[in-house]
Amino acid sequence: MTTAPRPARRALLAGAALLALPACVAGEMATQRVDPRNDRTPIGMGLDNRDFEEAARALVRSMLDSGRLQPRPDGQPRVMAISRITNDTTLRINTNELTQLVSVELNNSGRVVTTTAVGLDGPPDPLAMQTRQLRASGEFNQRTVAARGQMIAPDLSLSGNIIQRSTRVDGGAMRVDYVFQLTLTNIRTGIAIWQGQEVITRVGSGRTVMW
Amino acid sequence: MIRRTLPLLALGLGLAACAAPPPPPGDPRLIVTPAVQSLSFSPPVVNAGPDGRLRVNVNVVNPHGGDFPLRIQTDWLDETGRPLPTLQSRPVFRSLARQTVTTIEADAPSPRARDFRMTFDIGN
Repeated sequence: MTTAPRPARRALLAGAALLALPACVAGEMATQRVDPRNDRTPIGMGLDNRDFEEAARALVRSMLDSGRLQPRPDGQPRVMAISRITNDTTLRINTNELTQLVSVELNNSGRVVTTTAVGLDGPPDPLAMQTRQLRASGEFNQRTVAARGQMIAPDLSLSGNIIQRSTRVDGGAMRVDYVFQLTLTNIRTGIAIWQGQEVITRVGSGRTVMW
Repeated sequence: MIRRTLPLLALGLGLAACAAPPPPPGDPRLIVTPAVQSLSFSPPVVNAGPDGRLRVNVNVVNPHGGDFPLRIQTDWLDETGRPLPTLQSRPVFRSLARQTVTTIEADAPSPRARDFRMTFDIGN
């Protein structure tokens, strides 16, 4: 067995000590359950669930307060389809997190329902259309199969952007603005009946890297 | 010397008693935690909007010399007293500017909401 020369051994020891140091400093944090209604855990420079909830809450409130979400002439709620929500941030975001919160809250308001039979890249739920193929099957009671002309077309389209702007501020800190923009478009006329924007801002260490 | 100091001390204590925090609001729908009892809360003003949704306003006075971080959580209750699951019940954080009045607003998510419960706590 060969032994490493003295300088190399010293370097190895120093390297091991350096690796062990962060573990000593950080310590072990026990896993805890977080109550989403009383979540006081620390925040980071990125976005977490609380931010999506905050943005969705403010945007839906603005939509409902605008008075533009009147029912259809037959008294039924408006039908909304989800269009494109662009993630223009450095974070990996599933934009469904935002659209789901918005559509659930709008559905609960009784003013708007969401169609899952129409979507920008195909229907979010393709089964509604596929079950129409059962009309050709003798195995199914045809009275239980959806007839022609029963689907309701959307009259509203929800689109938007999530934008990130990072700025270095005095003292070497970093300010990050996340801008949530949503637009509701009347599909018949192509006119935006409501537009809203909610900004969530963080100021923190300039050494933080977000992705 | 002591004779002069004692009345001054008594005066100081008396002034401190005058500056004691205001009593918490009497309305049972407002829940004020001990951490924010130095603020003053007006009774809630409740109105129904044209669409039947309840709207609540509460004025909060921050008498301090610095801004005050406030955490507000509003539960909306249906006719049976059960909280409605809604994003409008998530905590809202407001920074109350020093020595000013801030109006806290809350809107019910739907006409199904018949009552509310508003909890004020420090926003750390």
